[in-house]
Amino acid sequence: MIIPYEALFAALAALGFAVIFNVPKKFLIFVAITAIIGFAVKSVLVQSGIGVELATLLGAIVIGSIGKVFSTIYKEPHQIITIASVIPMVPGIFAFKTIIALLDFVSAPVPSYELLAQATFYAAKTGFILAAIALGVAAPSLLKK
Amino acid sequence: MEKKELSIEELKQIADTSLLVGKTMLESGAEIYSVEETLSRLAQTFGCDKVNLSVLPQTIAMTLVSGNEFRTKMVHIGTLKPDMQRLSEIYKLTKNVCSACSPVDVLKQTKALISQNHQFSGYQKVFAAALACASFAALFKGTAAEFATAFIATFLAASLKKTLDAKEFNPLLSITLASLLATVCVGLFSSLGVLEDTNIALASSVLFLVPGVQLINTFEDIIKGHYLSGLARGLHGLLISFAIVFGIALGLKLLGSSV
Repeated sequence: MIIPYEALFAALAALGFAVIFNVPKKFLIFVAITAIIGFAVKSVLVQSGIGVELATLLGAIVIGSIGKVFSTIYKEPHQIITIASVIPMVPGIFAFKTIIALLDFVSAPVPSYELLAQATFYAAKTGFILAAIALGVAAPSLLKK
Repeated sequence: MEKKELSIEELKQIADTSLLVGKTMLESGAEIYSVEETLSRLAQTFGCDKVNLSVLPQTIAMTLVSGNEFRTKMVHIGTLKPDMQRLSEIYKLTKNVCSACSPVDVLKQTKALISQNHQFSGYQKVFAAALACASFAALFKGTAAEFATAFIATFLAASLKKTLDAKEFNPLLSITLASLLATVCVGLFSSLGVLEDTNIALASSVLFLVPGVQLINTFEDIIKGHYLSGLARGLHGLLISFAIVFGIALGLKLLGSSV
C-alpha cells in the first residue's frame, strides 16, 4: 500500500512547483489530484516489484493522459497541469548521489573503480528516470503526427 | 468566393501580431510545434495564402504570402520564464481569432495580456519553492528535522535567487549561488547534529532549481522532429543542471569534512 502521507507530500511538491510556474489558480486542484494519481501509480508499481524506471514511465503516461483529457475538455495546453504534476517523480536522490560519487571520484588520490561504478550506476538511473518522465508526459500527444 | 489579396501593409500587421504571439508563447514555455501550429493557423485565418515558418528557441522567422506579395520578419526570443497563466490566456486568445478579426486588435489584446501582473507575488513563489523542496525531503523518507532544514535552506536560497534575478545577474550564476547557499545552509544545520541523513536535506533543497519545463519540452520537440530546437533546449537544461552541481560542489568544499 502507498502510505497516504507520501501522497500528501507529492501533492504539496507539485503545488509548490505549480505556483513557481504560475499555473492559474483555478487549475491548482487539478495539479494536486493529477500528481497524487501519478505518484500513487508509480508507488504501487514499485512496491509490486517493477523497476522504478518502468514504474515512473507508467506513472508519467497516466499523468500525460490526464493532461490530454484536461486539454480536450478545457481547451488549454496540457503543460498547464502536466509539468508541475510530474515534478514529484524527479529522481533527486539519485542525481545527488551521482554528483557525490563523481566528486569523490575526482578528489580521490588514485582512480577508484568502485566510485566510478557508483557514479555510472546512479547517473544511468537518473537519466533513465528523467527520460521516462519526459517520454511519459509526451506519449499521449505522440499518438497523432 | 474569390480570396481577397492582402496589401503589404496588412501583411505587416499580421506578421507583427503573429510574431508577438509566438514570442510570448515560447517565452512562457510552449513547445515548438504548438507555436508553429498556432502561428500558421493565425496567419491563415487572417487571409494569408501561405505561411513559411522557422521556429527556434531563440528566434522566430516567418514569411507570409498573399497573391504576389510577401513579407518576411524575424523576432528575437528572450529568456524562458515558465508562466502557465500567460500560456493559457494567449492560447485562449488565439483560439477565438476569426477571419473578421483585425490583426491590430489582436496585437493590442496580446500586449495587454503581457503587461498583466503575475497572480502570485515574489515571496509567495519563494514560500512555494520552500514548501515543495521540504515535501521532497519527506518523499525521500526524511524526518521532521530534514523537512524543516530543507524548508529553511530553500527559503533562503530562493530569496537569494529572486534578488539576483531582479538585479539581472547572469541566470546561471544566480542558480550556482542559490545552490551554494542552500548547501552551506544544510551543512550548518548538519553540524549542529540535528539531521539523521544530511544527503536527503542536501538533495531536496536544490530541487526548486531543476529546469522542469526545458527537460520535458526537449523530449517532445525532438520526437516531433524539431531536432535543433530540442537539442538547444536540452543543452540549456543541462547547463542549468551543471550550475546546480557546481554550487553544491563549492558548498561541500567550503564545509570541508563537516558533512
